Amino acid sequence: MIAKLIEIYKHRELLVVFTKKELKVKYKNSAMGVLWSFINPLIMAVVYTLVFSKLFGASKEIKDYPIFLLSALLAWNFFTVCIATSSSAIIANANLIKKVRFPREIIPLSIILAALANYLMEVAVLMVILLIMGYNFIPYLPIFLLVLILQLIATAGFGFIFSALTVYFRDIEQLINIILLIWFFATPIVYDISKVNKLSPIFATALKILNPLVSIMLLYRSSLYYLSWPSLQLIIYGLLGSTSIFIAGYILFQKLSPNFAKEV
Amino acid sequence: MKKNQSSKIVIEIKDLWESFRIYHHKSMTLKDTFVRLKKSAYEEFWALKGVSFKVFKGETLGIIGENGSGKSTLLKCISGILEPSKGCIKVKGKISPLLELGAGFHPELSGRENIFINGAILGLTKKQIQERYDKIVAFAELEDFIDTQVKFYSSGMYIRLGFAVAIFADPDILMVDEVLAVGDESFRKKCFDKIKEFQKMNKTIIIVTHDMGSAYRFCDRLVLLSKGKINKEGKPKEIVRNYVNSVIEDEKFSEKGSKDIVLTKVELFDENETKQTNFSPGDNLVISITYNAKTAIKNPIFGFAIFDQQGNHCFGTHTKYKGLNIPEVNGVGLIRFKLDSLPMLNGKFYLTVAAINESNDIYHELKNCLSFEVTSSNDDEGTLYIPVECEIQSLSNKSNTKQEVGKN
Repeated sequence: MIAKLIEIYKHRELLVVFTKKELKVKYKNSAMGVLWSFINPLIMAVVYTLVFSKLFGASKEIKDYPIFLLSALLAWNFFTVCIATSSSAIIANANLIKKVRFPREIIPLSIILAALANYLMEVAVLMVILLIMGYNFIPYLPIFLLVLILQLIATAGFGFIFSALTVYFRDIEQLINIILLIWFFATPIVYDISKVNKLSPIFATALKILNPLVSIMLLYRSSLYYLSWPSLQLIIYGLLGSTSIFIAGYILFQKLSPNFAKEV
Repeated sequence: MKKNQSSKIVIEIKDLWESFRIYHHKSMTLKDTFVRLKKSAYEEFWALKGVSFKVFKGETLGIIGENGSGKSTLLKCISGILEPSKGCIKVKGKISPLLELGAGFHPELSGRENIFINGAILGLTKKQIQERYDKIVAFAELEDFIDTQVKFYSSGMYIRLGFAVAIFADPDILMVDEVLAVGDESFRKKCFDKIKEFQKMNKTIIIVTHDMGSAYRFCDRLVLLSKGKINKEGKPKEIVRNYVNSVIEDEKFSEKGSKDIVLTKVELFDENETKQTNFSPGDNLVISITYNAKTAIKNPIFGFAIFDQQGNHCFGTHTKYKGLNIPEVNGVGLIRFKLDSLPMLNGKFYLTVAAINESNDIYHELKNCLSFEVTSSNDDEGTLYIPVECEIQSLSNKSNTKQEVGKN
């Protein structure tokens, strides 16, 4: 395992090149280019705010619903892009896999890094809005950085899992949108976890343990929206959840990747 | 070209086995996997069965064999793309895989961007690529198109760029897979020159090819693979001959026809009427065919054809074309074709003989029944033998010499 990590480190330049390629290809031939990464979440935020706060009356319980929403929605979008792209990534790069030797991990990792660049730009805009609206999140930046790292670790783990499994089970490419839809509602993004807690505390705890993204979203919210220090328990949940997913994904990827060249 | 082999081993392959799964049902879906959990949905296919050999520093090794003999699988194992199912491979030094040039080019990106991506894939740092960038572009002859998206490139441009990046990646071990067969003549020459340059630099080269000509010209040693095993290993001259013969015996020789006339014997003679299979360019040659007609056959036609190693039809004729009308044959007889001045320069050729009737129905055909070799004793190049005389004539008044210089 250590040897493999060293090999990935040796290929770090390739990782950078692949990441840049992802970004370049994404915005090539589109007139608005990078602007899309701002327009997309903006429109989503408007739609969700209209539906959930006006129609379902969430605005009565939740102050500044758009901020509440965006503090988690941007992170979720980042996650979705990574998972959806990496689930088809190995097959899309079949040509390369079959012809050239390099650590296969580079492919899902470069996708995550490229999406991270987008995410950071979006977050930067959100942070400006937060400051304008009087949310002083700056003291809580360490929490934000911590949760960002946790999300990266968890996303890498899920990226390994989905990219490797899709090579063997092509259905996942189709299934992934449904999985992500269910996952979206199983994560407190448009709603508040405390509401679930009121209905069924056991269910809320189960959600926190089974879905590593719950604690990640809650940590994002505490650093950007609630502006309070999260409980140690929540941090530990996040830490355990993301590292175990990473290890599981990494092991699975190690097991399956030697045969990618034969299967794609 | 040949150099003293230092005994330093750069690649050592020991008892290499590689298997593939051949799926009976192409679709690999979740449902399939669960439904056919018990039945095996695939078959194990062994592409390599216990291959062992060594490659020494500075040598040019050729891997030849028929389609499906495992050549490309072997190369993929050496370059680390495939993991061996059994056995082990030790490689010292940086390998540049030339497996299908331009692998990893992204069609939406420009040539320039792809040089950097492909260079990084081949293990170059950004700085190294920048240093070599101009040379790569010049070698690929793509100065005017380097900022064009690769999707607009012609296939020739694509391959040129791929080869240029790979060759300037400066590997310790260069692997070439069938790529020399592509590109136009001038670019091929450039590639060959570059390979020769690599040989001079004492780099190790592995060439996988079908083209016996380049295997013969470039390699110090050849490995002949057949059905996943090493059939023979050794000097190019012996192996190429062995390969060609084995192909002939396996595949090329065939006979067919109604056998109303049977061709019982085919022989080749030189001008002194001795049996011969080795000739020099310009030699005379006699093809002698013994036939046996069981009943009286009216108006038969006897003919022959000559093919080269690649199966190209070099020449063919028959008795009717030559104005020999045979009203009837009955019993045993002999047909002789006298060939004046063989026009081939070098190579091995295959003879096909046949007896047919006027409406082209075959009585008996012996396809590739005999082979003969033509070997040139001088340094002429090419495939055809053309007798040439050269002369020089000075047109100034000082001397009035007319001199014949060479004649062969």
